[in-house]
Amino acid sequence: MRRMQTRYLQNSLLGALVLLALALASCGSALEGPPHQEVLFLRHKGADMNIWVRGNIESKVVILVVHGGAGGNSAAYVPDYKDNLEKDYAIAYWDQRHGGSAQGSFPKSEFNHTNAWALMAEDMMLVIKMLRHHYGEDTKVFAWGHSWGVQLGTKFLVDHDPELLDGWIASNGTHSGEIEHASRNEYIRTYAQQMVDEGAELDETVSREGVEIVTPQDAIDWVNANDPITEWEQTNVQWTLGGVIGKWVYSRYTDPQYTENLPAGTLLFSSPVSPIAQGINSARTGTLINNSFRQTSIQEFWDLSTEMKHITIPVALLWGKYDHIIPEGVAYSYRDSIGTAPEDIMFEFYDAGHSPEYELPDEFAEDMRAFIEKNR
Amino acid sequence: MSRNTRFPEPRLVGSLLLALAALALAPGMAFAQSATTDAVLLATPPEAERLVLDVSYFGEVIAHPGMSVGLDYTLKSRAVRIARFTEEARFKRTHWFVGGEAAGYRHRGNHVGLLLGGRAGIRRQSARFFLFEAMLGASYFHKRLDGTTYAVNDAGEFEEVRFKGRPKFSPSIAFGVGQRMPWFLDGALGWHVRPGVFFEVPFNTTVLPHPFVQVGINYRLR
Repeated sequence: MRRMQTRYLQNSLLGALVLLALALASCGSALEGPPHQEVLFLRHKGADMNIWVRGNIESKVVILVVHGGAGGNSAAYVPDYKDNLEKDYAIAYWDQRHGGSAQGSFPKSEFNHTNAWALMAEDMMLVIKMLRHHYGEDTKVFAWGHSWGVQLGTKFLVDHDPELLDGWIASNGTHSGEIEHASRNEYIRTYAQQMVDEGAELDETVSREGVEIVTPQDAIDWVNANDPITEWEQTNVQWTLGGVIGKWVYSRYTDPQYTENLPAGTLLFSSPVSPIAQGINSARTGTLINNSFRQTSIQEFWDLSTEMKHITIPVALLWGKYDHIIPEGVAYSYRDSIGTAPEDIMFEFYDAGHSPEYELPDEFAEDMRAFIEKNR
Repeated sequence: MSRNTRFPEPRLVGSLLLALAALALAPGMAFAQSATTDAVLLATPPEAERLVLDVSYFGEVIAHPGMSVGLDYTLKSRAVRIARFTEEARFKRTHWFVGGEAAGYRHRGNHVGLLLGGRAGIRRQSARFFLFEAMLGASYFHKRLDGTTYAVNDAGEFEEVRFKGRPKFSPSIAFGVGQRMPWFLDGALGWHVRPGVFFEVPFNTTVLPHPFVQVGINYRLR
């Protein structure tokens, strides 16, 4: 009996110790370390949006991260900045409404592909004001948008006062669905022609919407027959075809030095982030506002290019040159659409795809630092 | 000199094998010993649990720490005679219970959660005092943001939000294993490990599952 008692007590003790260790892990983690770290929340129209501020707040410079998606999350960018820009500036990782770990409660009728965009731009305006309210009105606030974050940030710049920002940094996102479609067609045409010239083949056959594209020449023919893009079905084919061509382009032109990811479980067990919420938010947002199959995508068939001339703040366009999602043609159009003086525009391309901050983190951070130092 | 000088003495080999066998069989021996020692207890139906109190570590996603307290009242119980390993009489007992539970935890920088509600389930105690349980619950879930929270007031100014909580509804499901400790307090005390999921309704425009685990002790009050 004593042996049984001892064995069970040992097992129980072991289990308790494992759980205690896990609990303690939640109190200290690989994410500790920046000089400043806190989580702020903005409560607005049913949403409780978290803003995880990390880094050097003494610098009086905050970079607001406007994440991709729609329905992505800001914590995905922590590995890109924690070992470089966080040392010099505070980075505000904002999870957009119904994205990342953002919480709250609101009816889905208030969040659909017709009304969410303007509402989220309003959220962004308030987040910028809130950061200044919290850290002091003399704080310099820059915003960096990636992918969908550029679309959202541009909507903010168009609908609200751009001067709320000290500078806007855009990476591989768009200001016009139509220009995006045209640039993607141009990307496919250019690189498919290169494949034809070099005798290269497509990695896989594209079969979408009743269309079958087997060779690079088929790709060129499809693009020539579908320019401009005006139908949802065309966007689906173009999207898939761009991905297949892009795979060849990446392997030929890029040599990514990816950011080291966080240790497994770090975000789940020992951060303010909820990866489960990220998954649920992403799936739900994808359905409500980002689904081209249901024709509810917020990212197709729109255009802000004619409303951007009043944007005169400093702008940096830091772009992955070989991106098949938002190709380089969009960057040129963005530059030409804004009213910012040429000397206040930084225009850089990287030998990277859709995420230069992840693929070439050091080079990217260096340029971002140069832009901020020039304009702070 | 033995013919087997190149090999260890047979007695030594036997001792080593015996020691290895003893190590390998130790858990089984412990069970065998318990079965004999507890023959009296096992030969009669285990006492019905009328009222059970449990206190647990409550870990939302295991690592977000908290505590929970529960109290279960048995509506019905039934003892069944079994004889699986010996010819001796053995009994297992099943309890159908309803109860209440309060739990709280903190996900640092995200939220503080408080749950208060009821549960109903089934708990089976085997002849070897193991417990297996399954339960469904329904709770009020108060979710309070864990960080400075701002909102814009009617005058367009930022104000720190004092009441950072939101009321939610939370159905839940949990399964547990554990054991009564018959050598201690007449078997009134037991331990349990209880993984489960509670759901946050609403969460934005949908529902959010929160996996959790409870590890604790339970005590038969009556």
